[in-house]
Amino acid sequence: MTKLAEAIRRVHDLELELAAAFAAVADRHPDEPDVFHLGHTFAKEATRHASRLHPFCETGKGAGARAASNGSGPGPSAGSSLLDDLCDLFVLTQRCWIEETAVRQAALAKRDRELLDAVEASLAETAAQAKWERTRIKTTAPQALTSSLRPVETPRPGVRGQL
Amino acid sequence: VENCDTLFLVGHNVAETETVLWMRILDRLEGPHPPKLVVVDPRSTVPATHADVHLALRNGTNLALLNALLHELIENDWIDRPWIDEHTVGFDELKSVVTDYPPERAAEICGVTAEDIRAAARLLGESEALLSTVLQGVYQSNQATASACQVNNINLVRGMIGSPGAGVLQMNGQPTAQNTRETGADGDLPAFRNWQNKAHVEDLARVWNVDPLKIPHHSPPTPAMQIFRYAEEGSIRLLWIAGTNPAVSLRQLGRIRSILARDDLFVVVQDCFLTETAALADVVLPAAIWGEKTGTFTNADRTVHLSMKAVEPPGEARSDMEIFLDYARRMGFEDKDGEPLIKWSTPEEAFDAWNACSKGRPCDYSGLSYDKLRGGSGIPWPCTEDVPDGTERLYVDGRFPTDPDYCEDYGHDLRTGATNDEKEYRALNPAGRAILKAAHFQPPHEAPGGEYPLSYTTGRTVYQFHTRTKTARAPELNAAAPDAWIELSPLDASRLGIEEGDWVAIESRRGRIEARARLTGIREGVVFAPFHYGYWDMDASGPNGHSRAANELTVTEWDPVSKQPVYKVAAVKMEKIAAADEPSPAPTATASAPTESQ
Repeated sequence: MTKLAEAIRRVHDLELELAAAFAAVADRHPDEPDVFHLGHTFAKEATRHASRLHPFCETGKGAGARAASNGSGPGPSAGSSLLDDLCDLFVLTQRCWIEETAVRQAALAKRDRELLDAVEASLAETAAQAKWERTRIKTTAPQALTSSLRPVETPRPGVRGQL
Repeated sequence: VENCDTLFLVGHNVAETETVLWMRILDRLEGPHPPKLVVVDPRSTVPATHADVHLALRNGTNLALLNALLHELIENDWIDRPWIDEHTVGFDELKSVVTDYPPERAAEICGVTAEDIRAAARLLGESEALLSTVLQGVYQSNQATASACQVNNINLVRGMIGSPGAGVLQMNGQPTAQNTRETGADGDLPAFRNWQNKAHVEDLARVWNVDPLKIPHHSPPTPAMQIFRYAEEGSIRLLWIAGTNPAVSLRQLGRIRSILARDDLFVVVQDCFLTETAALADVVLPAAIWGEKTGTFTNADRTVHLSMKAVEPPGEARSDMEIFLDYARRMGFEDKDGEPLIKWSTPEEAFDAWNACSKGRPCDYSGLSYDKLRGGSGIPWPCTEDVPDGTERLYVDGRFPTDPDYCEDYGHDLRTGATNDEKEYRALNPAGRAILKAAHFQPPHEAPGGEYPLSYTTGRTVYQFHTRTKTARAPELNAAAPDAWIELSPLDASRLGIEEGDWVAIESRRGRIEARARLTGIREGVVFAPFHYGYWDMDASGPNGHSRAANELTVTEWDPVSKQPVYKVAAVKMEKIAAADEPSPAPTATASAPTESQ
């Protein structure tokens, strides 16, 4: 596999990981309707981003999603709040965005219009996902971190633990 | 209204929500040179029966229709390109979005004909003075803010704003909603100050003589729905509800009642009457009603009116202002010099303090006083030293309050509600030009189908106000609409074996209500229930064997930008439960008129 093919494969797998994380967070917070609905919308979006890259992924080599990541950073411990989930999502989305950016620059350098179109369509949506996460973190943090009363926690593993 | 040649009512049943405005419209419609009228509403409202084109669309599809209308305006060059170039930003993006909405596509989404969409676009496109109005059929439906923006855009691309007969009325749902928007009672900072603008926060701190850190500017305002969610989670333990009745007016009532009834939530309710919400409170503070207190009201057209106290409030009731002032005094709120934070005590002093607070902002009241408001029929803001008689018309010079240092907000992503920051807004460089924002249609999250085949919407009747706390005590009004009903089309009725007056039940994934059926000119596949009816006059705070509040069925969901709950889209099923024992209690005039009389 060429280095660019590896990078495309990495973005592809990251998008699938992100899609699964969005869906997991959405399902963990059914009582937050915006998180629930947008989470599923974004999950579909990220899956679509991955599909766009199919034509550029070399077949036969490590077909299908790469072995699911167990996450490299410290995942939330016992039970994780909406704020924790949103912060994890943000990091994953940013990772996805910057790797998409790298592929976009390579596509530009190679004058590969088809790859460029595929990545640029996804980049804008990934940026919009991160922007929403940032806003939702800002609105959630004051209540979550300053209330002396502990909100009800869902005693389930965090985003990464589900993958 | 008096000067327009075309009226465009979007989700706005003005005959039942603003009767005085409707009288003025009727004078035009029944007089010489009547304006053309385009109405967008799934119900056969009274304005719809006067319309040249009535677009009875599927509820929840406003944005697709409006995008198609914009598509036609651009396609047929019914736009004012020089005006757009000079006074707006974002036209290219708008154009690229609405390109995807030819009338045929919107017709399929909205369930209206492409011919009707073209006919409506032609009326809007060929008008010379277009007045557009918007109310809850937009604000409380799917993609509310995105749709409201497209109505603005229709007037903007035609350059029809700021001249006689041309403009947009983004109406309010309540008489004082304009004031809550202006003063910050919706959670925003007072006088359209921008929470992300440091200078605005410092200016407000100067007006109130407090440290800027005392001014909440840590995040966008927390909407009511989110506050209830925090209470449900247990991270809010004191909820003070003044002058509203969420146990009937909010969505998914079973959930609201269970939150209000929580042992770990202390609920204070301040109201003129013992409402369903008050019945669930730990403490009830009796409040004075209009006529028992002095204050001002501002109309949606910015006209400020003075309303004087006529009688003393009964018993221990006090005005809302007196209650809040007493609370502030007992809490010992101080400014940064250790003086009392609130330095005024009468309504007139409060008004003067507000005038000072609003100085230099879009809603500038600084030239107003109680003395000036006495006698006449109101003065529209901005009213300043320079314009002492107020301002009849805004945007006459095609300049808009979008300068980054002046604007009230840096805006949002219409789809997700994500907030723009200052850098993004400055990059847009609006500099006094209007911002044309566009968005693609997305279907409602709960679309009818399968087990729940009908589309549900809620709304008002002219005879009742809000949750009937006042109007049900006016015998004539109550007699005209004494009990809940459910509207459906004759086609759906015959399919379900339902006749006028039959007892029917409708059920969503969240609840069930029972009422008598009224067959009206409503769109096939859509059912309507008035939201006014709760349980207080049955001596209950919730259904006690008889469930009739429309919001038992509504979804817990809100617009990503405005945070308005979605009251106009849900999926339901319907069945007959008993044959008619008497006629439906629905009004026989208005949008609820039986089909025969239409």
